[in-house]
Amino acid sequence: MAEPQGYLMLVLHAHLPFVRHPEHEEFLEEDWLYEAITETYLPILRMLEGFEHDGCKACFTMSLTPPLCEMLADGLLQDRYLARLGRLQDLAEKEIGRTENTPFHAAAWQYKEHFAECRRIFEQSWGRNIVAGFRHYQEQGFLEVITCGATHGFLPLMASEPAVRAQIQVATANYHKHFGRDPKGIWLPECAYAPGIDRYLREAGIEFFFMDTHGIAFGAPRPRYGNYRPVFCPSGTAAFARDAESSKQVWSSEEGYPGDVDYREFYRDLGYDGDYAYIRPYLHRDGVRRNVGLKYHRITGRVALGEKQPYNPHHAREKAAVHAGNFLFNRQHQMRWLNGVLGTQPVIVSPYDAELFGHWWSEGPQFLDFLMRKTFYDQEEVELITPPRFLDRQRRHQVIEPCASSWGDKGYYEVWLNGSNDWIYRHLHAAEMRMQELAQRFQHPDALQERALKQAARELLLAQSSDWAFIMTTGTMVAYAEKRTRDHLHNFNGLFLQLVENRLEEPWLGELEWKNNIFSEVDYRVYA
Amino acid sequence: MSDQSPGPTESLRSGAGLSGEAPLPNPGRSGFLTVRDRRQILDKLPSIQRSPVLADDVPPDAVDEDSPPPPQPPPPEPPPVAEAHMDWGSPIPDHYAMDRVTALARDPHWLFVYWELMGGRLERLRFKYSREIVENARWVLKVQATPHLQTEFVDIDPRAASWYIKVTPNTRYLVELGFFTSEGRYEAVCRSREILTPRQGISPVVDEHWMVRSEDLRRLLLAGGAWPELKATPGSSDRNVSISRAEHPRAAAFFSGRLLDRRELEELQEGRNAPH
Repeated sequence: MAEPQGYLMLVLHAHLPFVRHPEHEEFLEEDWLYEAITETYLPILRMLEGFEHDGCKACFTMSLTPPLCEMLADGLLQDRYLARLGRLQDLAEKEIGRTENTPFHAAAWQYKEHFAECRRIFEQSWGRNIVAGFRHYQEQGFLEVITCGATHGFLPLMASEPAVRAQIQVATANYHKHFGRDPKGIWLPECAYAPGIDRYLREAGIEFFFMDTHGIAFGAPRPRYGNYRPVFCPSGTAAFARDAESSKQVWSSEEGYPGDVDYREFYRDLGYDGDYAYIRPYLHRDGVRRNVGLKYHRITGRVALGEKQPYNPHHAREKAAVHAGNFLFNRQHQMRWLNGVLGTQPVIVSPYDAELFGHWWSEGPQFLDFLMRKTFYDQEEVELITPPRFLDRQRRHQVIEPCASSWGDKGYYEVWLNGSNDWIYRHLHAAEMRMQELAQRFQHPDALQERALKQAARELLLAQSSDWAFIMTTGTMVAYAEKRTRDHLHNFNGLFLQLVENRLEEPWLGELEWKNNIFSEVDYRVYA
Repeated sequence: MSDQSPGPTESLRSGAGLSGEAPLPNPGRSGFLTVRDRRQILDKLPSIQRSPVLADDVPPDAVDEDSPPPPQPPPPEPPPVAEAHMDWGSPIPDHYAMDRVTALARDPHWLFVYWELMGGRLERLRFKYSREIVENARWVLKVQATPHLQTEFVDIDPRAASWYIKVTPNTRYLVELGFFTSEGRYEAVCRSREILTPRQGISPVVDEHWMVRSEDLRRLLLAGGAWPELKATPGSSDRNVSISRAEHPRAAAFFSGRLLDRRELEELQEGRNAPH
């Protein structure tokens, strides 16, 4: 086989903050998980199933963050998901009748079939724990699953080395629990890097991570190949940088594929459009109209919501195939040019939020399927690759110190540090110091103290989730984000005081363990 | 008869009196309001649409007063609207009984500094100088770029507890909280750890084994479309480089949109459909 012109490294970053509320029979924010399972994670598993069945040796990289893995493996959330899926299947069945002899009928059938597939993959294929599915496809060579910060904490804004180390090591241990081996790579939360973070990755045995473009481009000494080849950090960890050109084709709200007129319109949903009495049983108990996930209109163009035209699934699928071909064509040209300029094969790193594919861009999983199949079957200039395979093939890379950076707006840390959220850091940093004090003081705890120490670590980790600061900046669901931050800090400080004052309240501790049960395996000693 | 409108349905059904008005007619022995009763009610309510039950083409005496009117189905309740989530979480401490100053780099040009003086140091200073001197002093953040020790004093209000400071890229800083007495004497109160601001621009440092000219690297990056306004002078230094990001991967319409409520979705849609 001839050497390719270059390598395409697709990366899907799948993450949701840990949201689990057993104290309520239903909780609105849990919908984020259920929607993502139905619209993104199960379609990706179905795609992988197809690859395995057809012998299509495509491969890509996917981060499954620890909070997401914990939620996917949680029995309560699995139960709730199945109940929700059952309601969707019931609604889809009614929709077949309601839409008969209308332009919406084809879409109704698509939903019915899709939900049936979801149930098959979720229940029958993987016994409700779809993490096992991703593990299987990794073991079969289709996927490289990488980890992320334990609770997606924003590492450069942590005040202490133990706090950064804990986010990495708790994540590594959790990955081992779900995937049966240590992670080779990591998706730094928000690609947020500061010089020295790579040392903690190296300590944990992690071999590579990802950065935004300027993380390498502005590194010192200047990178010979820009962001088109990986580099080694001084610690020996490899860094890969995002390619802006391929990102723009998908992410751009103006020029990107997802805005095509044939694709499904996100903002026309049966939850809002349906007759209220008809749709009421499928809404939350408060009866407020919200998205239910059945959408019957296409983007159409720059028209008002009320003027959107009926969605045609077949046209949309064909368009996804066209866009996949276009994306591949552009990568071929890009790589030919870069190969000529660089004198070596470029590595085009194309990372995306996984939830873009399927949830926001309904046809996204089809696009990915077409893209990877076309790349594997139809040509030889572009080769799909994962970081470990590339580093095994090509071992000599420049050593640079990357630039502090993130993939957030403006390229640094402002999204997570501004007037809307800067108040949190004095509290998080104080909690870091207190946790370190606890880990050092309690070298030989009794059984109850050990439980409290582990729960204190959980509460700190949950408070550190960068999602809360992000939500405060975007101004959406701010009350929920602030509540989560304050609640976890409150719980942490309560446990801290009870431990140092030797007055642990077991009932309260038990309640916290029941509610905030992430990381059953957490070792609080990582903070020592 | 004036064209008058009924009030809220509830008030008609319940027979509740309107503010300042005589009580509404009682239902007849059948338990229902007669046509005449309804017209009497409507006459009292000038600002409301007329019910089609009492359209002008219906003669006022069309129905025997003693006969009950046909039963009317209750109108459907409107769907509820999401209420604002008002629970902002459990209480957390205002302070942690510490004396500390922490500096965080937000980007190449800004530091965020916060402080807390609840660990006893302030009290010792008040004892040393007197409470009045300390509280009337000129409080500052002493911002020192290391290792050349270039120093700047930024006037602050100590009660603010945090401040943003303009700095330069790729520079190490120490930030100290202190004050000047009325005699001009500076007293340091608390100091941060050293913080390094990020680089901004192509590094002037070259690796002889991986040589690339700055101009060639700049062209390579511009070809990728990441920074169309990237400018670099020969032998570029960080101060001469500006960045404008044409695109960023977390376009708000995709990521944050999943967390938008309906009102925000509609505003976003209006923005998308705004004429060019």
